[in-house]
Amino acid sequence: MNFFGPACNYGERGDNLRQVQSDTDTVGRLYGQHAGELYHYLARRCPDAATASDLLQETFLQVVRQSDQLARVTMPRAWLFAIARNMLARHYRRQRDPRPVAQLWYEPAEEKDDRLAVMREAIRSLSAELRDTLELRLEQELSYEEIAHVLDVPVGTVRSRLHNAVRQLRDLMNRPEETKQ
Amino acid sequence: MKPDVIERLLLDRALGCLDPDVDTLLADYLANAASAATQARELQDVVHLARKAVRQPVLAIEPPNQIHQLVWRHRAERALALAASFVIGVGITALALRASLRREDNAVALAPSIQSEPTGSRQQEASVKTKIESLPFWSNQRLYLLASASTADANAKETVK
Repeated sequence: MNFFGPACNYGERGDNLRQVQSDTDTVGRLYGQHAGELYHYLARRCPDAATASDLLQETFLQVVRQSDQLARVTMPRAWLFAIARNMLARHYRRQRDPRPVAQLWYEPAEEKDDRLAVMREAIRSLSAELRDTLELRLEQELSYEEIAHVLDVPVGTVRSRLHNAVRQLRDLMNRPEETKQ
Repeated sequence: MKPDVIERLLLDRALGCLDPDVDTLLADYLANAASAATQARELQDVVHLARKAVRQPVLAIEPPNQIHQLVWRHRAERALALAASFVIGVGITALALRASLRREDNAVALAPSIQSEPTGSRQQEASVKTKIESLPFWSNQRLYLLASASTADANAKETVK
C-alpha cells in the first residue's frame, strides 16, 4: 500500500532527475504535514529549541537519505517518529547521557490548574516505558500499531503498557491528598 | 461479562482505540450496568486529564521549511562519498600497478643469471647427443664426441663442487 500518492509510483524508465524531484516533493510534503508534531515531540525531550531544531533537521536528512524506500513505507507517521526517536537516542548517546529517550521530559514549571498539576506529577512518576507509550498515544494520537512500530515492540505490549499506565494514573489521582507528593 | 474483560474494553474505549462495533455493544451494556458505567466515566476522566497534561504547549516555534537545504546537503554528501571512493580506488590501483611493475623488474633482473645458463648447456648437450646417435657406432668421430662429452661433463661437475 502506498501512502505517498502518484509521486512515488516511478516507472522503470523514469529519468533520474524527475525521480529526484519527485522524492524532494514527497519529502517536502511529509515535512509540511509532520514537521510540527515531530518538532513538538523532540522539543519535549530536548533542553533547548536549537537542539530540537537540529534533531528535526537530522530526522528529515535521514528521510532524504532513505527516500528510495518511501514507496515501501506503510505507516509514514510511525516511520517518521521512529527515525526522530533514533536521532534523539543517538544525540544523547553522543552526549554520553545514559538516560533513555523516554526519561527526557522537559516541561514548564508553572501550573495553574491543581488537578492538571497532580496529573503531570503522576505522569512524571510513571516508568519511562509507560510514559513514552502514553505520550505517543495521547499527544501524537498514534494508533497501537503505529506505536508498536515506533517502539519496536509487539502491539500486545503497547496495549498492556497503555492499560497499565491509565490504571496507575487512576490510582495516583485517587490517592488521598496527604499521601500525594 | 467478566470484570477484567470489561475493564480492558473500557480502557481501550477511554484511549479511543475501540472498534466502533464493539463500542456500540459496550454502550448498550453500560446502559444497564451502573458500576461499569461509573468505572467507564472514571477512566475517561483520567485519560481526558492525561491528554490535557501531555498536550501542554512547550515551545510554540514552528521550524522553517529547510527541505531544499537538506536535499542539497544530501547531494553534497553523496558527491563527497563518490569523490572519496574514486580517490581511494585510484590510489589502490596505482599501488597495485607499482607493485606489479616492481615484481616484473625483479623477474627480468633475475632471469639471465638463473635460467639462461642451464637452458644453453642443455641445448648444447641435446645437439651433441643427436649428433652421436646419427653417426655409425664404431666411427672415430663418434668416439671423439663421446670422449669430449664425458670430459665436459666431468669439468661441469667439478665446477659445481
